[in-house]
Amino acid sequence: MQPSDAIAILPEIILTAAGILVMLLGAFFEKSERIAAGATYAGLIAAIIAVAVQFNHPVAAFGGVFLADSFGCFFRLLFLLIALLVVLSSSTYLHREGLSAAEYYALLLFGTVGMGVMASANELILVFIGLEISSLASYVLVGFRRDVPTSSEASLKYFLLGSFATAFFLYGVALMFGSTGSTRLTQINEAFNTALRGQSAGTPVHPAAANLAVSTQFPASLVGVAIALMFVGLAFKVSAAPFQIWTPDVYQGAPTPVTAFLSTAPKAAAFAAFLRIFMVGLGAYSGRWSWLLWIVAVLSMFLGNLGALLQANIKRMLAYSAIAHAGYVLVAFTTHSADGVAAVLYYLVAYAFMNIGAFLVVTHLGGRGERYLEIEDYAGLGFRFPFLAGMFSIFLLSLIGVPLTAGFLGKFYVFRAAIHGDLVWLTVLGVLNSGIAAYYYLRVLVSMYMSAPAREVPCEPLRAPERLALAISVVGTLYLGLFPQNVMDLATQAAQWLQQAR
Amino acid sequence: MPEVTTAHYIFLSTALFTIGTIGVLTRRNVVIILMSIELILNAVNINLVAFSKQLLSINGQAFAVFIIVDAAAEAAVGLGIIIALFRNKETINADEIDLMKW
Repeated sequence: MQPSDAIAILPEIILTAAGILVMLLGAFFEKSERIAAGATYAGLIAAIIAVAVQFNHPVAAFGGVFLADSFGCFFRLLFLLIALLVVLSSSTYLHREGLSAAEYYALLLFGTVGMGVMASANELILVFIGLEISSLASYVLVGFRRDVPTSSEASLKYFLLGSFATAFFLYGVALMFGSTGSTRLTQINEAFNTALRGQSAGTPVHPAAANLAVSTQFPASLVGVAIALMFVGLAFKVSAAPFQIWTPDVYQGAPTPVTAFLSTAPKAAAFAAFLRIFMVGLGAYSGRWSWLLWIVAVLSMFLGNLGALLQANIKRMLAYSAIAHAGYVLVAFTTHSADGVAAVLYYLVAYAFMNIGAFLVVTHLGGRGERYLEIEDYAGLGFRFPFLAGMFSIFLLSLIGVPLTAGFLGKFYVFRAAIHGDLVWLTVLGVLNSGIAAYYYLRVLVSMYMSAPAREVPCEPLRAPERLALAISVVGTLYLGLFPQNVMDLATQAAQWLQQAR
Repeated sequence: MPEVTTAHYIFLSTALFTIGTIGVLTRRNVVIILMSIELILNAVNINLVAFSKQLLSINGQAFAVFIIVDAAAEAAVGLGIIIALFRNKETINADEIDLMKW
């Protein structure tokens, strides 16, 4: 390992060290809550600085296996920011529910390490390792309320389906290794390009394995199966339909701050790996997978939005809406252009702010034991707690995609990229879906401001960390809605970097 | 004696993969579902090692070692989750784990 390699993974090293430290603090101190939170903040902020320094100095570490490029750094910054917001919004919740703060923070930090690895990996083995580090941490986080049956049930469902999907992904990776002779994304791409060039030159070369004489005996269908299996695995992780079955149950059963985390960070990480594998590794074969993305995008939008219409539980409703939002992101991905990738990145950032903000309000209003999670518990909220209701309205309006909010510009960039990519039908279906989505978000808004309270819902005042997290989320949502240029420039830069890597 | 070629290994691994998938989809006992997933992971390992031999590349074998380690970690976490659920619900039958639907 060279010094430059260590610098490239410095954020991950810091986070791992902080995670271990937090775990030890939890073991040795009786009242570890505050000190563990302090160590977590310190670790996250140090990691943010380490990533920010790298941003404009792309490094290919460990012989090109780990790429600390602007694409990877964009995502790592996003994960760290999400982790910071979730830690800020968790402390009161953990105290209220009597959960062990140190273990929780440590798992959150380890999960973030895995995501950082996923976003920067140029090697399928490393993608897999990052995926598992983040998944194992999230399985445990989902079941963190050990005494609550729904929490354990959600954890088990997530674990079984998640490891099943990972196994599919791995089988695809193994077949890809067999047909191209490499697990390095750039080398896979080279193998495909050489094969395709050989084909167009008239020599009847085997598409997958032209430059590797040893493996020419394998049929081309092997590559097709490999792509399909990897696609299934990743589509599961981004909770895209028809692989979304787990999402509502897991998001409902998990502790609310964990739901906020799950619906933003691991999803963004899965999209990062998805983009890198398909754009860089399988870019030459875009004809084979872009129609798959088309179908999955349409299914996710419709199943997510129609499912959300029927829900009475607010967490479940937001879970279905998360499926629909994954659909919008997939619309941009379907274009497989630099424009589309930039739109994906922008949307993921916008979604992170508005969704964490919304879940923060849900966490706070849920009360001890998460008792008040029905939509009817929000009736009359606008009169009793105008401040909270106002904040919640901003996040919901942004999720709808009302102008001046992050959600609007996110959708705008997504659909603009789709139109530029000649995906007119997909755009039409997407816009239609935004209309359907408006209905169930507005239903909550109407109930907050226009109906009388159904039952007495107690509400404690907001604590300082929650206030800070709420402020960051609101400022982020509005900032991205009013001044998109800075973030969009970074997203475009990252997208172009990905395009060049092909 | 006929030689064992890569194709044989792939056939074996496909069979294991199929058995594992069917196991996950049809079995109701959560522990057996977990075992079926491990079966799929071992199918992947056989594939990787066979390709590694075929392509004369060490990468596949290294990958297989990583997967074995991951399978161990996954089993540890999975069994922990199953125990937590059993304490709450006194069952590990997948059909009875139905607090949340639709």
